[in-house]
Amino acid sequence: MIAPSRILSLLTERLRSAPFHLGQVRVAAGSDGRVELRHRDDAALDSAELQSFHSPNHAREIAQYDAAGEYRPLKGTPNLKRGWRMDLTGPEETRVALDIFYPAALALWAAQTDDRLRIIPLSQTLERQTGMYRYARTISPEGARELTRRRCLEGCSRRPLWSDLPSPAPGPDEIPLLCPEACSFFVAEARVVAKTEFEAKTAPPPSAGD
Amino acid sequence: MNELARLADSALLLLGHGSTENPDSSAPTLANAEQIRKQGIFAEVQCAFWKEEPGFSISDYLFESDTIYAVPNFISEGYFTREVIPRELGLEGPTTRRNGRTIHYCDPVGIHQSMTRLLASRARELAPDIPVQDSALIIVGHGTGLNAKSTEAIRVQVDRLEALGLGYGQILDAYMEEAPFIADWDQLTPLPHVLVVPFFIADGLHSYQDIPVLLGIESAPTAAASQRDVFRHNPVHIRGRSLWYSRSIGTDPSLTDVILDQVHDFRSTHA
Repeated sequence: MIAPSRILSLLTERLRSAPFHLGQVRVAAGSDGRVELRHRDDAALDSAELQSFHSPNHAREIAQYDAAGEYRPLKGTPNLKRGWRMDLTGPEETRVALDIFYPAALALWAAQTDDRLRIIPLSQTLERQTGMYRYARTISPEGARELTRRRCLEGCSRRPLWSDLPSPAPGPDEIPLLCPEACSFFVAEARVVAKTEFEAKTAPPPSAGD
Repeated sequence: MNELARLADSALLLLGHGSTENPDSSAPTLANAEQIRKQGIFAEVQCAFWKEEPGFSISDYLFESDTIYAVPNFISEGYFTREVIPRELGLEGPTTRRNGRTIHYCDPVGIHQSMTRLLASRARELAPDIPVQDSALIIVGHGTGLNAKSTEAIRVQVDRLEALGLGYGQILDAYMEEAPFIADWDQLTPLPHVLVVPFFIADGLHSYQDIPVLLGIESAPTAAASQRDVFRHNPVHIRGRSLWYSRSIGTDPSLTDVILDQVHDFRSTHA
């Protein structure tokens, strides 16, 4: 038999002390056990100023493109568009919506809460790559740190637990957005950085007059 | 269906490629997952992707069930199904047991026998009123000179379609980057009606942008399918023929049945 969902029971418990934030999403308790989601920067706006949605699956159309209409393949990118609110029936629908806004975030939070989260060192992630990404493992330590700073600390709301670079600890009003292992976006960029580093090392010095 | 009723304590993991550039790439996998979720066959249904979130390697965390059926929503056997997915999921073979959990790794959807039936019905829906004896059905794939396996899945489908005796004047395979080239479609058949069905999972860069250019019905790559207001107007009269162009086979809602068939087949084979 399946035990009652641990993720759902944790979320239900957390909803009792709402409002809280997950990334750029603000989760607040409404009346009659309902739950309201909106962009955290829209917290002070009147509901009437926001477009209302009543199905958690609408999160997909909200999260798919940024305000400029650009595709958001990495949902941790801090460019979630504003101007919407979701009026949901309770924890189950809230879970569906949050799983779309930040895939696996609740599952990783539950794993961390239960001390089951395994943090995978960057070297291990890069070492197991094959095919065109095999080359990513040759990135220099400095290149990897710089990429982590740019891609993860500045370009993503998730907290890279596998990096020793300091990242802000989640506040008491936040469910942490955890990253236990460098993602495929990082690996793809690590390959590009590694290639650039290699080319810089092997490029002939510019000759006079170039 | 009694067989499927036994899955009520199990979970389904659908594995897709996803894309950092094309918003339509993961859509069929997500839609199939939602459809199967609604059917209530499994306790949990989740997706994981190579190029989107959640990634393959963290998919373990998504589940609370002890038994997981992992089905690659890929069109053929190859690098991803044999190397990347097993590596990222830490699989040891068809069945992996660890930490009190069992993961069953099923075959990719594209190689299931029922894909043939799906291709046949897609072709019939595409052009229901044309005389089939005067029509060529072309199944188009990527093809690459680097891997002989890349065309095998499509050749198998063409043979199976032939065996169904559908009455088409010709049933052919063609490829983007390998002979017979889809760009030469009018050289591959003399028949007046030509039906082209892309053997891909998603309406992605290949099926929606590259192949239409190779067919000659677009002059330059166009926007992603979901960002265009209309699908193609069939038929297109070009190169002296009537050409019908289909969406990718993986976008067919019946793919949901093929996914369940793969789980069923795994259970039959590995019982």
